[in-house]
Amino acid sequence: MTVVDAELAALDPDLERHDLAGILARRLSGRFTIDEWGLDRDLLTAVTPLVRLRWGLRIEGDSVLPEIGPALLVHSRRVGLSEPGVLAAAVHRSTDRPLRATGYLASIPGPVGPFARRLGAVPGDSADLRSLLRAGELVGLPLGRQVRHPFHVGPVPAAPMAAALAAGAPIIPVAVLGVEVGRWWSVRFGAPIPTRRRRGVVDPGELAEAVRQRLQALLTRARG
Amino acid sequence: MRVLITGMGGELGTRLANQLDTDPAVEAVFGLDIDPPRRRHRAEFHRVDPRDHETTTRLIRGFEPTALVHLGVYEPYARSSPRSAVERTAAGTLAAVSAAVDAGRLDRIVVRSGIEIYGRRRGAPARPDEDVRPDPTSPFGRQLLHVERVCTEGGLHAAAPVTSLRFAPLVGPSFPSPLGRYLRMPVVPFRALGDPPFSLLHQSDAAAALLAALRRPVDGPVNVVGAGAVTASQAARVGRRLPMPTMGLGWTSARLFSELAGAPVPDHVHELLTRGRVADGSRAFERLGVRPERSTPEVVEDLYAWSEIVRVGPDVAGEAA
Repeated sequence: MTVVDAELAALDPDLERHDLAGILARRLSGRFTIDEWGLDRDLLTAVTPLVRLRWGLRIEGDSVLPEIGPALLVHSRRVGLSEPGVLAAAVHRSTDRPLRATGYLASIPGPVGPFARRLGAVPGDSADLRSLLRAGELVGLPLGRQVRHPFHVGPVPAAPMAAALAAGAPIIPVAVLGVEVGRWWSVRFGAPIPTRRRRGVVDPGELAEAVRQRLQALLTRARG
Repeated sequence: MRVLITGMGGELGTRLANQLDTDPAVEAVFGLDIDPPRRRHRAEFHRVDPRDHETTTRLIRGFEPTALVHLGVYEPYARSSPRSAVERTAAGTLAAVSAAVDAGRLDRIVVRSGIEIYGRRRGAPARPDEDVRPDPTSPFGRQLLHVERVCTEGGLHAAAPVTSLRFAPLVGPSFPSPLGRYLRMPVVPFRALGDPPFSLLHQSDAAAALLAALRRPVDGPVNVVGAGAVTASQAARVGRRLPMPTMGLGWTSARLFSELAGAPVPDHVHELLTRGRVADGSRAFERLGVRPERSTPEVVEDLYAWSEIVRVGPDVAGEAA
């Protein structure tokens, strides 16, 4: 059996060569992939070892992450500096898929925002959320900051739930826990809440409440 | 179907007219533009400046179209200067739509629009779909919004569906476009801090979308966007050009040099280079059954490829008819 790597690589970016020579040749010829949200897969590959140096991750329940198709990952956040990166690293390690982290990261002026976009950050506009889920992406949605009470879940906004409902994307509650300057972080994925094939009309507000309860249960269990 | 094509002299108009030639459902094709089409076909063509309201109206009323394909939307620095682009587009749209509606037989309108209509204001969605309210931030975007509004009103009067095809920027080796010229300069300035991605569309995919919308009218806007995206520095490297990092005031001189080099940068192209331009094109497949065959990277490859010129002899059948 022959391996037709060149043709297959053209069809599927996952089959591209990830060695240094392959990456360099791609960069120089300009034939690398930057997607519509500005994600650069080569850069993501290059940054992954650095992330492992910085953070040690304890991942639980990552079997709920879909290999294909969209999902909305609603995660808790304490201060919110490390959480998007930690969650993205956990998702990348479990499924080899990039996480589209919505929030302030993509909008930081200067070089930081654009760099974050290269690694998968996107502005959290509801239209963008809709379009990301429609395109079958894994989208991270941070909840409000809980600096004093890290085990308490704040209110869950209803608009992103409506977007997940429209796209039929499951909603996965995720507890991201750790100390901002610490090394070890724990990421616990909860059972997904399906939004497809639900009987009758589902109110996004009810869905938001269900998500809040599940995430609260996850956090309470993590504490106990 | 009696098809009126405004802006037939452009690449899209020529292609569409050629494709309609062999369509048995099409009774007659009638075209207007400032420049004649580059290839011959059986369609009737009249060379009229869109600003000439009287002639335009008279010709359209005489033809009595049942379908209007409005391609007379002039991009600044593509085939006309920014000022005449605005004037021609505004006057031509008003004249063509009102005359086509007045003629009384109109049952569908297809308009060439663009994703420039969404605008790139700070905080605007990065990849807008059709449900995002247009908020243009460049003269060309405002031009497109005006065109869409006039056509929608015309559609209301005639009780006809209006399909606004919002194309991603069209570039190609033989397609007059300011972005195409810019990317083919020997040195290509790009935004140093965060070179943003943009999507493109191949002219044959745009023509296919026009044809599909003409055959199966859909009321409302539809984005037509090639899959994937590129950045300016990436495109420059594909074309073996020198990508030049630029920021802040550097853009003023970059635009000046670019204009001197023969590739003036209108505001909407500058906006694309500094803030990016992509859109969600999934509705085109859902509603029109159109999925662009060429992805954005392929359009870029095509832009730099010196594809062979196939010379076609005079169309004998067309001559006889």
